[in-house]
Amino acid sequence: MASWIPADKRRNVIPRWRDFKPTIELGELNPVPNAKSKAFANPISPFHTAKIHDWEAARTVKNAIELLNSSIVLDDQEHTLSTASFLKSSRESSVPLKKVADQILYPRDTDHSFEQLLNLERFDKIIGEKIQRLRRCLDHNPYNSISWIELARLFLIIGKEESAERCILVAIQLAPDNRYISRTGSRFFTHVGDYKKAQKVLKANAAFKTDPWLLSADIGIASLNNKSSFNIKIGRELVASQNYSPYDLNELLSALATEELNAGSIKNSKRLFNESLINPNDNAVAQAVWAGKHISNLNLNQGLFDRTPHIFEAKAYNFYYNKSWGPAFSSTLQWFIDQPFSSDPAVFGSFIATSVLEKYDEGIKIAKYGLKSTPNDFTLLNNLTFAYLKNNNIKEAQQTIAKIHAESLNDHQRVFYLATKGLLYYKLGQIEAGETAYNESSNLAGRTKNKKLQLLADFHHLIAKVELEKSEQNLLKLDHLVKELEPMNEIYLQDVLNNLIKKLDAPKTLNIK
Amino acid sequence: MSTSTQPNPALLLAGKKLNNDWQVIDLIPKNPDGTGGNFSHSYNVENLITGERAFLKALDFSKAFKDVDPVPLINKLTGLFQFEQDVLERCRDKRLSRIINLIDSGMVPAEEGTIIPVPYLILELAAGDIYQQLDFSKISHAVNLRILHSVSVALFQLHNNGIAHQDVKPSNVLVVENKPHKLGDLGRADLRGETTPYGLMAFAGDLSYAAPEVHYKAVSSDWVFKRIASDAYQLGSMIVFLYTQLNMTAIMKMHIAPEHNWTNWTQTYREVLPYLYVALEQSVEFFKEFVDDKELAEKLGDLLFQLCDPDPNKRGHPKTITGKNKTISLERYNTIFDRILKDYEMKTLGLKFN
Repeated sequence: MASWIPADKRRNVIPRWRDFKPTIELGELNPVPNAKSKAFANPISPFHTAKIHDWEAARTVKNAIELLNSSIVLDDQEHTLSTASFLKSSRESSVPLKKVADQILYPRDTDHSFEQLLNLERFDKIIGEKIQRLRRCLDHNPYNSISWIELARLFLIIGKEESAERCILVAIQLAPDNRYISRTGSRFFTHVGDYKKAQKVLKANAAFKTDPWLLSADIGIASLNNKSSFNIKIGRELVASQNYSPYDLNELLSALATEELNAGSIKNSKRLFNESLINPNDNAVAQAVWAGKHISNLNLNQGLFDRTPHIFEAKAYNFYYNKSWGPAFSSTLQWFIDQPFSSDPAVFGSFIATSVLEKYDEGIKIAKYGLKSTPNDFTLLNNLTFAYLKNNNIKEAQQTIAKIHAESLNDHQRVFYLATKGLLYYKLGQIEAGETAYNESSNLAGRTKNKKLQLLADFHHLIAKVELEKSEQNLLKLDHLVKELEPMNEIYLQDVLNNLIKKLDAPKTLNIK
Repeated sequence: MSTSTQPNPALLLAGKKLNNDWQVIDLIPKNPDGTGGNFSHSYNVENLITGERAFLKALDFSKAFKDVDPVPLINKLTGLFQFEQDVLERCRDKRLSRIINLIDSGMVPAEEGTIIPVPYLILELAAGDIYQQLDFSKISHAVNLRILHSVSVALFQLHNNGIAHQDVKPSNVLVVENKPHKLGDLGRADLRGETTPYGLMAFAGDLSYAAPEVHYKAVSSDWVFKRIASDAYQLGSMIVFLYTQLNMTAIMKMHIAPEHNWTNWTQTYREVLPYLYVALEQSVEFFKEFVDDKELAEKLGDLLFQLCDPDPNKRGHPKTITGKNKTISLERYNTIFDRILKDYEMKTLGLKFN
């Protein structure tokens, strides 16, 4: 049986690691207000005044070029537009000038890389091309720390963790005080499970104690490591200081709210979550969606989902809880493209595709891509095996399940592993071995006092039995299980059962709703 | 009581014979295309003995006299004029071949009816700046490379003598008949180890051509990494200008996210540097688009990464900027531009070096 991150598993506010461009567009790299230093506005330059004078006296290409350059540099919008307009229509102006003038007069975004990646078939090729291009760029411009980070991200997507780490270390060495580098560096070390190093990277940033984006990451990573950050107090002070915009504080508020929730203080947590939702990014919204299972009436309105960019994770879960399986899967695909090195979207996507939508090919595809960056991820290997079995690719299923290190699994994982193994035996025609494996799975869940898991194992066992031999009695039992599991947040099972009944062409007299 | 308008002596030099065998021919009208100074006028002059033609720059005190507080302004103008003269004399004495040559200097005393004298400089005659020479619709690699070589040599000659130009831009690169291009307008220069009119300023030249550290107010206190670094950046910026008619600072600004540009940035230069490297990368890509010879585009692109590095401590040739005694020197670029030019000329002739 396939699995995903259950709603009761703890979620933490860990920085997103996206391409540089969308990260800028989301405003996560804006400078934080600095009382000591104001923005560096240039005084009115006498050279610029003279150029305006010349331009007004004679509208020639030379004067336009001089004034255009000066106006761009010194932020003189009026003359930037007037000279650009002149140069665009002038016969004497050059091709580059016309192009720049066009960009100034009609700004547009021409980056289609995100849409390109949505085509999973071409995913590898696109990633390969991007790696090549970045390597070439770094040959010429080795101090470009952002390119090192981009390269690390691409390496991580294709599972080259060591190469990625080398790139990350170079970037941190080049720019230890840059927020993007610190946050992505810490995200990398979180991904590989080195939480200590992840926090060290954040603390090495000179602005650590004054930058809410760095503090929120520190608190989130500490929480992921089941510890409480030493910097919670500083975080609270930043929130209370009123020096920062709601957007600058949204992740910090969300991280503090999560701390309060984990400590059992629902009232404080609710207040902080609601504050985090004043102007949130997608991470804070996803965190609030997760917290919404524990705290009632958070300010999660439809407007938030509509206006928050890159909100794929939260949308995926929201659609899922509203039983909109198709949109949930589409949002998960977008989430996967946005965070391709993270196993979470691949796990959730393969689960929905296989267990809910019964689109096994899609489930196989996304699980395989997810395994590139996390090749030993148990849930992904299990989901992939399950998808192969449902798709009747028995040989591939056997090869995949063999990659799971059964000895190192915890009891929870073992329940899923045994159930999937049970299905494999059923598909191989070894019914007795299949029954034993399913029963072991159910018993183990019972021993660990996980009622839901036990019922799920039984549910899947019955499905395997019914697929083998149609039995009205088993169908009724399945229906009973669905009803028992529904209050436990396993909301998709009714659809699974309905599909099964349709497939089996069960008699209409069967009293199942 | 009646008022009369005093004639401006700086505008009345035409036809005058100066003390040193120079005859003032005519006033050069302010070029409608040019960015002329408000405190000087230009004339064509001719040497009565040799017949040599030259250019005269006359200082105009008249506006200063009309100022509400004329004394400080007159003092300032005199100081600046004297400084430019001193620097030009120094360049002449050191025989800096790529700097516009100071031929003579002097002063036309105040005449009857006025109290204003006119100090002047007689400079080598130029046919104009490179705007007059360049045809933007048809790029000539050979012309561009010659200009770059001349500017590089000129800057190296200055640096070698403890002078930083500070205002390298197209209108200060002059075309001299039958000679290589020369650098003019040393009025904004700074001298190593000496007190100069603009010595305390982070940058004295035209801000729109200044390196990014100037805009972010993060200029080094070390003379080399402040002044020579600035000149090196402007040499790189000239490469981009010759092919795109945009300087590097303008192109970079277009590639910097608004929240990271100098108008909005409130944090340290160290923190913004990674974003500037991204902008540099994109700017070089933009530049290369417009160089139709791909081999040349690569070579010049590499030079841009070195000369326009946003970190002045990493700017310049890798062999001089790294290591124990790191410094910025343009000497290697003289050879590099020369070599690129020769390679290009050989290529166009269908020849190759062995």
